[in-house]
This record gives sequence, structure tokens and C-alpha cells, in this order.
Amino acid sequence: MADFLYQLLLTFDGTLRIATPLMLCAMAGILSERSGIVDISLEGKLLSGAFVAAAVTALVGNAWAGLFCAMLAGVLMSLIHGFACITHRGDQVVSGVAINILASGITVVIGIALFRRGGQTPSLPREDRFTPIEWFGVGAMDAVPVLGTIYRQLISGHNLLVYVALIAVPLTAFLLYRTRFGLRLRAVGEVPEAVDSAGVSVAWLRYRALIIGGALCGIAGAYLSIAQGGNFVRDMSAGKGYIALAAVIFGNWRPLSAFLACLMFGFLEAGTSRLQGVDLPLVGELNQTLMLALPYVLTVLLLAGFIGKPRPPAAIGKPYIK
Amino acid sequence: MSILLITHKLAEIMEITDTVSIMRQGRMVGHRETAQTNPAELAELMVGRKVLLEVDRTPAQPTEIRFSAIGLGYTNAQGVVELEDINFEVRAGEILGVAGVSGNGQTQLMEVLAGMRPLTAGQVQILGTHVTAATATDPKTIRNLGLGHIPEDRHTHGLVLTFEARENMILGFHDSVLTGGGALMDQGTIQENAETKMQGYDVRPGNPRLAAKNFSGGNQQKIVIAREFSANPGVLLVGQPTRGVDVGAIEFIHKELLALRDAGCAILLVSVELDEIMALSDRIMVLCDGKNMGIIDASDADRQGLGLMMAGQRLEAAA
Amino acid sequence: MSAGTAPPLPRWADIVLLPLINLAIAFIICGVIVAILGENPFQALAVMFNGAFVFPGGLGYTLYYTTNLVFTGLAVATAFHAAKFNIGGEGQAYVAGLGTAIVAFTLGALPGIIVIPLAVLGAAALGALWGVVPGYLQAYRGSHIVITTIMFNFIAASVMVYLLAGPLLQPGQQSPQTSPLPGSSHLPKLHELGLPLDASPLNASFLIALLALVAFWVLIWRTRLGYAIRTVGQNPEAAHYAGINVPRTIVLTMAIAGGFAGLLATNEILGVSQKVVLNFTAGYGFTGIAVALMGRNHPLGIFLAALLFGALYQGGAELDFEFQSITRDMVLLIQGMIILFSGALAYMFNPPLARLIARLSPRREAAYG
Repeated sequence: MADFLYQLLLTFDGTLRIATPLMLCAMAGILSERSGIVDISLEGKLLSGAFVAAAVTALVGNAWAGLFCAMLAGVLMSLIHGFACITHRGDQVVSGVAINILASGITVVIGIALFRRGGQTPSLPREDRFTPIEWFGVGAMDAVPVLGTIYRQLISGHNLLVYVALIAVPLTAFLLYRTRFGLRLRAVGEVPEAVDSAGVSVAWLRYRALIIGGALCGIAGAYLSIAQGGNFVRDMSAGKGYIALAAVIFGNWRPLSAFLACLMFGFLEAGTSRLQGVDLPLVGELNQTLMLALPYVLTVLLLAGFIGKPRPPAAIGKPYIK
Repeated sequence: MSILLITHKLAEIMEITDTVSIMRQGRMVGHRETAQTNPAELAELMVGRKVLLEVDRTPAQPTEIRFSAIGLGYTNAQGVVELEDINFEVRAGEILGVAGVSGNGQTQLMEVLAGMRPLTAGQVQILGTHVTAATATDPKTIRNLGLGHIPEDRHTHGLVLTFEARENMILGFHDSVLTGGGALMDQGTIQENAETKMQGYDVRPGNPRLAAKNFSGGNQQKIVIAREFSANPGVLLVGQPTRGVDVGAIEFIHKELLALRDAGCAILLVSVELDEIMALSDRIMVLCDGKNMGIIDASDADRQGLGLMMAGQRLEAAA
Repeated sequence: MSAGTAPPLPRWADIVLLPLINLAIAFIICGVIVAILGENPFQALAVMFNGAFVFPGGLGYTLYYTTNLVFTGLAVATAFHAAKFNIGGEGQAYVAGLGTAIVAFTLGALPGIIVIPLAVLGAAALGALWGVVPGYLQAYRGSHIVITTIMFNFIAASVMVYLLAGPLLQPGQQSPQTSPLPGSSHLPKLHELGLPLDASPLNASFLIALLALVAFWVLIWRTRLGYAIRTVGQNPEAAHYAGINVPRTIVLTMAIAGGFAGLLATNEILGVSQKVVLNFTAGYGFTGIAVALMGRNHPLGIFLAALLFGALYQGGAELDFEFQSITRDMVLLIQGMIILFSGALAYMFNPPLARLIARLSPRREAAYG
């Protein structure tokens, strides 16, 4: 029993690690899409963030500088997206595709030019990364059965960016539902005409949503390359931006629900890798590659209305023309 | 306060303005004190020639019933009843006008009759074929029964604005003889079809390769009308035939509509312009809140009586 | 907005000049990046050009890449005509690999004249299937096709990894791939057919691609289905009014789109690798988006754009040998820039260009009142 509990705890721990970049990107996606801008470029922003974080940290030897520049990189990508879709009313999906391909190209091109390692960045020494933080009293809590283990494994012992992601969720919710900015942001994704006629700039609201989202994606990228991992490898975002987008849809464009969707997707992945080779009653051995497709399958089923009915923002994808 | 009112409704001009300037083809062609002018003069300035505002119309010679509805009802996907117990019949050679304040079920009625929305109660008879909620209805089947349809909104339904005029001339007929009988659509046939019809209905400019969006409102409407009229429909639905159309084209469209009637077509005419309904119809049905307030002979109709019915009084009470 | 005040762009400028300007901007930005990285952009361009067209076999490789991109470009363009964004070309092509394998392994004993056409059809059929499902979900269940096709790319990837590493794995093989397909299903290479060409992977699929371009043109502009597809794309409500079955047209469109994408498997598998390997689609599905956008969804434009990208792929490979700081990955960057400028920012230069042309050209009468 204790072993089972320990296994479960390790799975939850893995869930959190996997879900962290998803949560940050999902919050970015919610902000962008609630303002009316389709954001399939989460993937590209995440990838750019990961590269810039690792490259800057490798060059200057400071993880904080890496994190900061990663956020800037995410914002820069957002600004390109905004320039195309908001200022020039271009197709939001096309722009997103462009940014994703651009990101996967430019990260490798610059990476090779800078480091000559086939697109990878050098491995960072431990002290240059965001390392797990041990909370106070972990040693003392060890004496307490069950709770001590939970405290050590689940609550303590993550790197800073995991906690940042966990805080980003309520902050996004607060921003959306409790501030004037959030009210206008939600309105601009539903009826931009109304916001415009109230004398508030539709374009600037959407730009701000994209900028905040870009910064969040940058943090998520930094998590991949200088916190969870210790360097950048080509295409290391590996579809996480798209899973985050799936979580946004799954969460019906609401921060808390999207957070739960991220945890669910994270749990599916953490669970299957932990259950590898285990013969389960009724289902037999789970196939890991097929299980990895589950978030996508679930999202397809959800979108088709087989599990509940998603309700996207009304004005999403439509360029605003005065 | 100074108010600038831009409209093509002459009655509005006469009623509320003090002075009026008339534009034609991007140029100011005249300025008048409203009190010193009259609708006929304004209309003449607008089109550059005298226009017959009164429609010259001979009495209808209706024959057999070609088009009817019994207990027609439509409930939309959200469960809202939008049409209830509509009964009418239209004979060959007559125009049944449908009057009503905009948004009282006219659009739904037109679209249900055209097969664009599903009938949910009652039945419709088109040239001898019965259509009920049980028989699957779609616009293609209905069209093949011999029903023509000038939709209320030419930009939404009647035309594909980015298509060339000749492609719009086969909208709804792309698998008919108008595109040739072969496996591929015959470009020569399509071109010829458009040329003939654009000439016959005086569409300007008469260039079949020009995109529909580049024509004026009146000429766009003429494209729709040319297409639907020349199919020689036994039954015709006409919605807002002259909305956003210049005065010259209005006159032309009205004439063509009456000619089609006299050729034996059964016509159902929906318009928010009461004057248009009264000028063209032989009988008038009034819709209010999706219900039929009654059908009266056009010769017995006056604005006041129709107005009361449009406001929700049934015929018996209004009379 | 400024767009409203600008005069309309003449047709030649819209079709030729504007795309060229957009392309030039994309190249100039990439050139600046190359310069920043410390290499000479003109030299890089020359190396790429020589690699793509001049060096022995270069042209063959270029046309081999072009073949793939014609197929995926058509997959995107077909859907675009119905105003649907098919991001799923990658997954459709990937799954189509199964179609070639199933036909080749089950009918491999028959002569090539029978097996090859059936294997080609098999590829198209599975590609079509992978397009039909998102099409159906969009048309009848209202799911957004962009999201669904993205998800289907990932689902395809998982399913193929599972099959190639499991049920279809070549016995005794470590890397996930099938056994070699029977020889009867192999498409002949063009240089083996006595054509005066250097050895290259260019094979009979190139001819299929040319046929596909013609078929696409006939479909879209000469058939009743094509008319229906374009009507649905330009004005679905008018299509409904006209008696066109809109949902069914969308499903058919996606079937055809998926079928085009599926043909990529004929080039890659029947023509070159002769077995199904992991990730043989290598991003061609996404490049197809750039091809369709640049080619303005017209077969001639698609061919030219596919040729351009084919040359970039092949020429880009030369960069690896000639330069220290830039590699073939540069091509991804160029591709991203082209999608950005030819797609998302396609009309950025429209108003200034239109004003310039209007100023330079002699005054003409306003055409229509």
C-alpha cells in the first residue's frame, strides 16, 4: 500500500513537471483567443523561448538573463503575429503557421551559427539552471508519515518556474474576471464593435493580450531548456504548444478548467510512462505511443460535441475592420 | 443642429427634410428646397429621365391554383415557433403580396417555401407536388419542381460577389442545360447564356466576365432576376425585389414582374415597401409575429387597414 | 483604413508583381540574417542555385522535391477553394504510406502494371480517409477544421509510430520501418528510363504530379463539383440557396485534398525508399501551405512555387558543404518568411503599390458607375 502511494505520488510529481509548460502556454492561449486572435503559434513562441533561454544562459552564465530574454523572444514572436493579424488583418492561422515554421528554422540557424553543435546549445552546469528548491522543514516533515512524503515529493522540490506556472493560473483568472482590462479583453473577443464604440482601441487590447501571452510562452520555453532540461535541442517543444492549445479548447477558454485539462494531459503522459510494461487488469499493457495521442483524440471528440459542447469566443479569427 | 440624411426613399425626403441635393453617378445633379419640389421631379433628377412611379397594371387573369400552403409552421433549431398556421393559395397569373413589418416571419416563410429551412408543420403544394415535414426538402428538389426564387438579400444568397457575372448566371442551375450536357461544364454555353440574358435584361456593363461585386445594386439585382425569370418558373418567390436599387431599375423590375405574371406565373411577393406591395399585388397577405392576419384583395386594401393588420389585428377585427 | 482609399490594383500587378515583391522581401530579410551570421548572402544564393539546377543530378533532386510539394500544395489549395484550411497534409500523407504498403504486400505477386496503379490508389484512398474525418467533423459536427487537422497530424504520427515499431516492424530490424516492398510495386526512376538525366531519386511520380496539376485545374474550373466547391468557399449561404449540398461538398473537398496529399507516399515510398519509414513526410505537408499560398491556389502558381521550394530544399543541402555558419536549416527560415509575407502579410504592400501604379499610369476613365 505504501508502495502504491509512493508510486502515485511520483506520478503526480511527473504530472506537474509535464504540465508546467502546458499551463503557461495554455494561459497565453486563453489570453490571446479570448481577445479574438487564434493562436496556433504557441508552439513557435515556446520553441523560441526555449532556444533563447538556453543560448543566453550559455553565453552570459546567468539563468535570470536567460529567462528574461526568453520572455522577450516570446513577446517578439507575438508582435510579429500581431503585426500580421491585427495591424494588417492577415489570416491568423496562416500567420501562426508562419511563426511556427519560422521558429523551428531560426532557432536552429542561429544555434548552429553560435555554437556549431548541429543546432544544440551547450549543456549548462547545474548552478546556471533553475534547480529544485527544497522548502523549509522538509527534513523535519519526513518524520510525519504520508504527509512528510507528500510534502517532500509533491509540494517541495520543484524549480522556481513550476511555481510560477502554478501562480500564473490564478493570476490569469484574476486578470480576466476581476480587472477592467480583463472585462474589456473578454468583450473584444465577443463583440469588438461594442468595445470600439466605447472608445477603447480594439487593436491595442489585442496587442496587449498577445504580449502577455508571448511572455508566458517565453517562461514556458525557459522551463524546457534551463530548468527541466539543461540545454536546447532542435524542435524540443515537440508539439507541447499544440497540446496547450488543446487544453485551452478542453477548458472551454477558461483558466481554471484549462489548468485542469493540462493536469489531465500531464497525468496521462506521466501515468503511461510509469505503467510501461505493467500488465493492467482488463486493458492489458498500455501502449505508450498510442497513449500519447490521447490528448489529441480527446480534443477531437470534444470539438465534435461528443463530450460536452465547446463555446469559443464569438469574434475569434475575424480581423476587426472598422 | 444640422442633420445630413442620405436615403433613396423619396417619401422620407419629402417628409422630414428642408432642402435636398440629388446625386447621380457620383455627381450632384441638383439642389432643391423640399417645399418647392415633388417626388416625381426628384425621381427624374435621380435617373435623368421621367420615371413611372405608378405601376401601369392590367387586372390579373388568375387560372388554376399552382402554389398553396396548408397549416404551414416553422419551429427553429432553438425551439422558437417562427411561423404558425400559414394558409394561402396562389393561382397562375396572379401576385400574392406578403406585407408586414420587417422581421415578422417573412424571411422564414420565403426560406421554408424555397426549401432552405425545413418545414416543421403543415404542407406546401408546388405545381401539384406535396411537400411536408416528412418528405425531405432541400432547395435543389424544390427548384426542380419549377419554383424560382429571388432571395431577399442578393449579397447573402442571390449572388456570389466574387464570381463573374456568367458564373452567377448559372447559380442554382450549374447542373442544368445552361452549362452544356457534357461531363465538363461548357464555357461557350455558359458565356452565351450570360450574354443573352444580360442583353435581354439590360444589365450594364454587359460584360459576362466582370465580377458581380463590380456591378451597381440595380444591375446586380437584374442579374438575379434575369437568371430566375428566364428559367420560366411556374411558381416564383420574390423577396425585396427593389431593395437598394435605383429608380430606373425599379421601374424595369416592376414591369418584368408583371409581364411574368401575365405569362401565367404564380408569384409570391415579399416586400417591406408597402407601396410596392400595393402597387404590384392582386391579393395581399399580412404577416404579424409569424401568423397570418388575413388575406385581402388589393382593390379593397388601404394603408390604414393594412397598417392595423401589420400591427397584429386580424382581418375580421380590422375590417 | 488606407486600404479603402487606394485604387484597385491592376490584375497583372495583383497576380505577378505583388507576389514577387512579397517573395523578394522574404528573401531580403533572410539575406540580412545570413549577412549577420557572417556569410555572404549572394554567395549563399549562388551556391543554392548551382546545387539546385547546375550540379549533376541537382535538377533531378530539385524536381523530386518539387513532386512532393506539388502534392501537398494541391492538398492545401483544394481545401482553400472551399475556404477550408487544411493543415493536415502532413498526417494525410503519412497515413497514405500505409495504403501503399497494404497494396504492395497483399498484391505484390502480381505484375507492376497492376500493382503500381493500385498502390497509388491505395495511397490516395488512405490520404482521403484521413482528410474525410476532419471534413465530416467540420461539416456535420461543427468542429473547426484547423484544430482537427492539427490534431489528426499528431494522431497520425502516433498511429504510424505504433504500427511501424509494432505490427509492421520488419523482423530483426531495430529502427521502426517495414520490410522492403515487393519489387513489382517500385516506380521506375526517370534516369533509368533512358532519359538524358543524371542519377537522382526523380521517378515516375513526377509525371503523376504533372497529371495531378491538370486534374486539379479541370476539377476546380471545369467540373460541376469544382463549381460547387468554389461556391461553398466564396459564399456558403448562396451555395445553400442554389441547392448545393454544403456539408457533402466539404466532405468531398477534404477527400480530394487528402487524396492529393496521399500521393506524396507514391513518390517517397513507391519511388524512392521502397519501404515505409518513420517520418518519411519530413514536413512536406507544412511546406505545402507555403506552396499553396504562394501559388495562389492555381496549378501554374503551385507548380512554380513547388519548384522554388524544391530548389530551396536541394540547394539548401549544398549550404552544408560550402559554409561554416549556415546549413540547410536556412530553408526552414526562408519558408517561414515566405508564409509570413506571401500569406499573412500578402496585402501589406497592396495600398502603396496601387497608389504608385495609379500615379505612374496615364489617367483612365473610371470604369463603372
